[in-house]
Amino acid sequence: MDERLAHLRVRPTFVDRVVRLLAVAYLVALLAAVVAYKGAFLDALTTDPWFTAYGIVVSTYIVSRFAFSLFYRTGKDRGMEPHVAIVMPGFNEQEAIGSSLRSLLALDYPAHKLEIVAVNDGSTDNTLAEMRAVAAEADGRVQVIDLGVNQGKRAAMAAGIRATGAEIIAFVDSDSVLEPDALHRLVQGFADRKVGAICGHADVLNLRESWLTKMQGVRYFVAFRVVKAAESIFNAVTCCSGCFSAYRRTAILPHLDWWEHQTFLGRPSTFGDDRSLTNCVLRDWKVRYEATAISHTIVPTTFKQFMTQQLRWKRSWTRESLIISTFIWRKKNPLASIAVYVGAILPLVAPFIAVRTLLWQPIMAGAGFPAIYLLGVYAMAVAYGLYYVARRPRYDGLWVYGIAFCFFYLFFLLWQTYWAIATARSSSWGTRPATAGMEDIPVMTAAERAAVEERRLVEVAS
Amino acid sequence: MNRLKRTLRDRVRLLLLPLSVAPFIAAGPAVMASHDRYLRKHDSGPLPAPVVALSAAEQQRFAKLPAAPGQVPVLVWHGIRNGNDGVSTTQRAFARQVALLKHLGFTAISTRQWSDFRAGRPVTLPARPILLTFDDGWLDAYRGADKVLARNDMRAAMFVITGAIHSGDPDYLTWSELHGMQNSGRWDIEPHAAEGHRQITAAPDGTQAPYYAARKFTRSQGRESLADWERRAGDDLFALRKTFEAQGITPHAFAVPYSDYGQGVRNDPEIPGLLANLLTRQFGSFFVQSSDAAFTTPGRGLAQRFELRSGIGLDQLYAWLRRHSPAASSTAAATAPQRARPAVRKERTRAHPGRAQHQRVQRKRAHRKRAHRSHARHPRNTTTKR
Repeated sequence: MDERLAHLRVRPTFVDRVVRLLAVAYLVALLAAVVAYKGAFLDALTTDPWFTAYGIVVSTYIVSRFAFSLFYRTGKDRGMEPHVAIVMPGFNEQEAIGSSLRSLLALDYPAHKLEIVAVNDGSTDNTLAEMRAVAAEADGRVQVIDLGVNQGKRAAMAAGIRATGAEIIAFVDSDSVLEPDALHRLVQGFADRKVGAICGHADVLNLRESWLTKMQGVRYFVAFRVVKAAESIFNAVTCCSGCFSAYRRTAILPHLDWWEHQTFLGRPSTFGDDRSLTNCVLRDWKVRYEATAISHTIVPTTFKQFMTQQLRWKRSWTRESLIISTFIWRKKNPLASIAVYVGAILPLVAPFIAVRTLLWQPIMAGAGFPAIYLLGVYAMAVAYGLYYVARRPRYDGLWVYGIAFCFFYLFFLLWQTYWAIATARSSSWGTRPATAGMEDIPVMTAAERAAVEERRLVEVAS
Repeated sequence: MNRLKRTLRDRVRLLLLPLSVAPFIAAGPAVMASHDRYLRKHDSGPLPAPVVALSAAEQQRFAKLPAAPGQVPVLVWHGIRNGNDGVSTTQRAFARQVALLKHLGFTAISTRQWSDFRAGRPVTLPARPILLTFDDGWLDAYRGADKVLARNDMRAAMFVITGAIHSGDPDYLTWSELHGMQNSGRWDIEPHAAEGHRQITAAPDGTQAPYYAARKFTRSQGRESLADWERRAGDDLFALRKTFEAQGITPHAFAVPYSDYGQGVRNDPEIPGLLANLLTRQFGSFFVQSSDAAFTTPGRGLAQRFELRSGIGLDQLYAWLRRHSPAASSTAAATAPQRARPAVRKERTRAHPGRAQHQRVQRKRAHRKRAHRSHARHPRNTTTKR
């Protein structure tokens, strides 16, 4: 396996087990307290209906995510080994593309059933040569497609899909590292003929890099293990992350042209390819999440990069929320539909509630310090952190970054929503990523990569 | 060494878990307080009246009393709540007391009717009029009494402490609630004190006395002069009147805090006479209470109320009513509505300073220890009528 993942192979000690047990108890008590609190103030619905309803909806949403995720079961190993093609577009990535492709070849999956489609999207560096070099050593398992001129990520991905006849098409972000059995684990769910796409799990690879990556570490963990798991029990995962996911070929083919040339308000949709493709499949197929198919991905390390990424995600979220709203109710699963609509409306309402509670009421209405509101945010944050503690084999202090993230979200990210909506037509990437995958990952220079690498090795060694 | 350091670091990080509980504990009281505020705001309506009916034996025991023409009995309660705090009455006991009054044929009158009756103005009173009053403006009194009064077609007066209202103490009624009560036609709002419903130090040994009833002692200034006392008491009464005026409520009588206008002579024999005069000029009538009050008659100044403290049973209430009612022989004469006669005495009645010691209400409610916070007082106004 990739040596970069070595440090993750640790076994829990007795103390870890006890701490996890305590965290579970604490989490249950906390969620119960939230429910009790909401119950105690239920009558406020008659006097302050909008604000109270918002509070109840938010807490119900969060508590229900945790509750539903308890029913999530990982896919059984059914010995599925379908023919898989991993499509990896590349744009000006000469440093990384070679090792990325080689790590895919080394996956624990039957060689004759795994092909790699590398698409050069008009790179101006040696990316194409690197791809060809890997292809030359791979006995024809790597197919190289050259688009000649830069046509954009979707065009590159679509070209890759069209070039292969494999039953299952997988996408792996070139900044992601897969665990050896990840692909095998991922495709097991396709044993169900109605499953059209499966989303793998993504952890943060450059976890220790900065406070921002630590926060994202907890966030990714919860976003996948709780939110996607909760969506998965209704077979309605709303976004198969570009980090690592797989689609049934027959599920995407009918939508391929539309998806490649998707426009929004008259402009081509350049990002949000993963959420958009998921939406295409979700109309007629089941879409699941597989927690045991684990990838490790590099996330933005600086505030600016992170904010740019989040803005882009929110723009595509705006577009795709509108699309999913038109059909999700037809899936005839009220719980899944309600979750989608609530998930689409809450971010729109939240900024107003925050302004009202944090600014308007204390300043204009003399309501004093908004202790209760902040305590609610804190409770949500601690719940996420505790979940992280409860589900990780080893205890580490990182979970407090989950708390920090919720406040970071409140003070920075919450306010992006309307800006993102106002600029939803924009097709600017902010930072033009060179790789397929999670929409945004900013390019790391070779030196940065080396630094990350080195730090991790030091950590593993110590 | 490295290993030890790392183990130690890991152990310290474990502390983050218990530490994360701290904000919840720190915010606990705020959450509780907000819930209290919430309940105060949304769970403060009148409580349903308990179903009470006098037993046949009671109905027989409490025979109808002859009407007392030209006299109006006045009753006073404080809070209506469970728990024997010496002052409050339970809602059930209150309901039974009101049921007894109804059974005896009493009709509650308004403070306006009562003040007309006192002043000798022409007013039509029912055959057996009675004035029901509550002191202090407790929320629980309103909540517990309102439906009981409504069920028995009765009404009552609430004597409020404006300083307590403005303090925001959740145990007290707010102005909006008081206006609602007044608008219901079931309640009259009357004055009890502004900031003057509290104890002050009256002597170097720390002896406490009601705000109005004594000259105040401070370590730095010694005992205030009588003129200072008059200004202090006068200012508070002036502020009280101003507040009522601002609320658009006309007072008809004043209830003396702690039932003490200095009549027991705390530290200055001049005070009872001066204060009685002041209160009479400002409010026409002022109430004190006792367990053996006389029925009120036309006149000015001092008026008495029978105090229903915790544990006062129907027998005691009935005994008091009977004691002050005319002899049973005149029963037949008192069925027609009485018309108050014009007041005979035109001269100003000075309160009777020599009246026997009145029982003072020990208003020590353990759960309501919150002292009325003294807010910025009304600026000294030299135009106060004295």
